[in-house]
Amino acid sequence: MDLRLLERCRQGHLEAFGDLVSRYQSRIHTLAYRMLHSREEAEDVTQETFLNVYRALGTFQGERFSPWIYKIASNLCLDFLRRRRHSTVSLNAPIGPEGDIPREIADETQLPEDVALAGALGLDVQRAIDALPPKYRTVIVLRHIEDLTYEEIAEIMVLPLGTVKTRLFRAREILRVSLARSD
Amino acid sequence: MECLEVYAWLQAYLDSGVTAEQERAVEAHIRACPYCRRKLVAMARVVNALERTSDISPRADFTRRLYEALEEEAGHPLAPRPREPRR
Repeated sequence: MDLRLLERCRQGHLEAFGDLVSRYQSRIHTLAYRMLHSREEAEDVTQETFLNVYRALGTFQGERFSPWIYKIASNLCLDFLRRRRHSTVSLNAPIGPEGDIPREIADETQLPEDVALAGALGLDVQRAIDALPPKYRTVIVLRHIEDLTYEEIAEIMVLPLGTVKTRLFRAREILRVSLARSD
Repeated sequence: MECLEVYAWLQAYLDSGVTAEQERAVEAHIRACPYCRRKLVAMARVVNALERTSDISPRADFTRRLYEALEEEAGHPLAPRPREPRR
């Protein structure tokens, strides 16, 4: 289905690109929102993802569209997180030599958009995701929010299957511990 | 079977990623071990909290803004435009 749409885009049928946008924009925006916890940045990433897809329409050689667009989007999210880390020291940024110890600073402010956009995910869970190091955050969002398989995540993140599992297990362990603390 | 040995299986069990034999071993272990049972329940709770969320659509004028950016890039109008996402 996606590849057929892609082929039609290449033939100049622009409504096919619109169909790809309609099919993927909410999924990509959800991924970006959960990774970045910012509506502005999530929309920037979603827009930039489709611009990248549009630019690469002629050169895409892959066999499946979905891992490709997720790869573009998750790499853009990681770029945003990297830039954030360089520009400010976030109170949520993880600490420790491996960068995998969440900080324990409670942030009591709750923005209106947190409430509106929570998508039924408790703010405590979103904040626990925010405190995960990026490499763990990506894998947890792809697995449990986007409902992708280990194999799909390995393809998106260009990692061996074993590494995907290790990161997912570690991420769930960190979330379990940090949510037990906030109970 | 020791807790440490069962740990990776416990995690894979959450993703239905264990063989029938491993599943039996995990279940036998958690029946006998309150520590791992608590751990599994807490992890399953985290997974459930993550998985019961719904998609978050971008704001209503997102598609219009995206197409403005695409048209600027292309240097010409792109029609037809898709509908805004359902909210």
